[in-house]
Amino acid sequence: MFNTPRRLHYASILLGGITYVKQALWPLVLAVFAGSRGNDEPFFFVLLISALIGLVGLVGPSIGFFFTNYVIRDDSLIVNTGWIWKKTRVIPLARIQNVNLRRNMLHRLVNASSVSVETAAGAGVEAELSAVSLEDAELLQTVLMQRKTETTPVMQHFEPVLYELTTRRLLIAGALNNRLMYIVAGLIGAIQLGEFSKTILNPIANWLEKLSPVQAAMIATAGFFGLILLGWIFSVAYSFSRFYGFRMVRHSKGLQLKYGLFTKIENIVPTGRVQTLRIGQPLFYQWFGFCEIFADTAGSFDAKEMGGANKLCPITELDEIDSIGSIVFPNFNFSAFQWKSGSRKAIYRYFVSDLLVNLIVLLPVCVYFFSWKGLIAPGILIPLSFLLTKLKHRYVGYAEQYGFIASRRGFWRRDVIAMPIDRTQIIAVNQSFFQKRWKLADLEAMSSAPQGIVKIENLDYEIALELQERLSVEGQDRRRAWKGGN
Amino acid sequence: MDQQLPPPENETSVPIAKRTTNGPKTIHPAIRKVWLFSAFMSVLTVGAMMLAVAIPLIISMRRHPERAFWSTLGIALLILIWIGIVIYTMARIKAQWKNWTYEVREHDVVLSWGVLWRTRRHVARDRIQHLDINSGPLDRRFGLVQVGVFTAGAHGTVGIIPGLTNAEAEDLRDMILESQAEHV
Repeated sequence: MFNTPRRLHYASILLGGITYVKQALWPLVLAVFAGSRGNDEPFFFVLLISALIGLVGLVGPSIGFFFTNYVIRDDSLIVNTGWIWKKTRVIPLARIQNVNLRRNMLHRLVNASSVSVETAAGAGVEAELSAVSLEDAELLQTVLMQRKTETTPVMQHFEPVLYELTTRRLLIAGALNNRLMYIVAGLIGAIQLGEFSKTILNPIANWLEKLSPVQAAMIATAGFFGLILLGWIFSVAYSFSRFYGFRMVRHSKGLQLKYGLFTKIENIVPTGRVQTLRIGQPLFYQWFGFCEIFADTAGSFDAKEMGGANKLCPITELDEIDSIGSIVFPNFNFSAFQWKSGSRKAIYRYFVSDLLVNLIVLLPVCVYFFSWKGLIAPGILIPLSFLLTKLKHRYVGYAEQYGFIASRRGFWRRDVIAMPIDRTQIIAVNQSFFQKRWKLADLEAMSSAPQGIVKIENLDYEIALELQERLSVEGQDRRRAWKGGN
Repeated sequence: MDQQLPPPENETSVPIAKRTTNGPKTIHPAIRKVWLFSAFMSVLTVGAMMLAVAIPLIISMRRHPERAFWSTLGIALLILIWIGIVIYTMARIKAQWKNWTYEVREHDVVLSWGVLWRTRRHVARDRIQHLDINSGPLDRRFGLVQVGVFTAGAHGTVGIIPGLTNAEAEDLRDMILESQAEHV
């Protein structure tokens, strides 16, 4: 199986071309604008450039097609690419962390799939096969992940489908993320185009000028809410197309995630390689008691193009965290964590620094106006900044229980990161110049997953050192007790 | 409390005693000369940048004698800032050397450094992937090398211990890597 070099699917030529054209699109748009100003017949010019871009976009990938192949030899995946600069990449099978299949519209038309291979080294994809026939892709995924089986704990008592996103949830997830900014950016972009503002915006502006101020205000308000509604609809549509049919299935190599309406994504999260669980709560999620769950594997990354390779669950209720978390870490007991808060001194520290900043800004104002009235502002600001710092710190804390070290922080967006103590590899205590005065320090526990850093801010220095020592010893002991663990 | 990891069942998994450094060790004092040299270079660069600001001030002082006060003040301020930077850099080098310690212990390697921002890092011994021994031209001039410690994952280097003699570095490498043998 795969022991003779194989070429990619023919669709890879077209895909390469599309990627190239996408990159060339902006220069092309610019060229069109540059051409249309001052030149009476820009059409020929644009046609020439487009033809050139199209030609290069088709020729490059076509030649590349004949020089790209992949083969499995001596327990390694070998990928050869390039015709001018040749590149051979050798990835030992034992080092492969994740194999993801991703299918966009074109892939689905020709029954192919892209395959990306991740290892622990660096954040990013180590090898990307842009198009492989679906059969081969699935076979390749199975073969490449074979080596992982030994390290994956086998849990038979789970049902095959572990989690399924209902349409209702999907709609809620979309509704709680307003992507208004995309619309605003789109509008600004459109206004930049001269023709658009001439033909559409100017008549509207003329029409608005004729109205009475009350009518104009009403229309402006309606427009504002209309925009928000539009952002909302867009957001719902986006989450619908991205996460449609989200299913988490038990797979012999870990967990399989399948989702997507147009671009179908199929990821395998090797449970034995998961380093941390992250639970995120954006503001609206907090209000309605929802959260999203991520699992970070060694070397995994969170790039948008990969569809969030490590998102275990786009939306779930808070009381389901335990059941989803325990699929990855059997003794994950989030709801029973007893959170300890950091040092109270942290609140005063931030309060004092806020105050100093405020005074530095306000004092010159007071002096300039030479009036006691300037003092009203600090009078309001001091209690307000104290209240805000207190609010910000209400949620900050850490827990050390059930063999986990976890931290939580955030105000607008709350994040919890939990890491089994046996996965820690570096534990650092950092103390800044300002923290030294207050005898405070930050503690960071790092695993081999780049995003999963448990960061506990502003602990008492002594407590931080003690915790560091304890975690360091405990991590080693747990690893030693569990031979064969990774 | 925790049921995931059962305790070792037999006596064979009792760890073998590993070599340690017996307490924190400081780095070689000659590193101060290396740092002094590079500090000298950066102080000179800053000085040159300040000179570039000062020259227009001097010219303006000549052309507009009525504004001489402000130009003199500006130049004096620049000189003061530069002297401040020089004093701070010199003072820092000593503290930096005093604060840089490393220790190889039974279960981890402890690196500790920093003057204004201090860091103390525990790196699990069984998680260290490899070690690098590097030496730049300046290091070599004083017979020193640097040891870089790496673990898996995208953090890259966990820490670089500067200012070790070659013998110290090799001893350190052997000490850390010997514990790897039992994990293979």
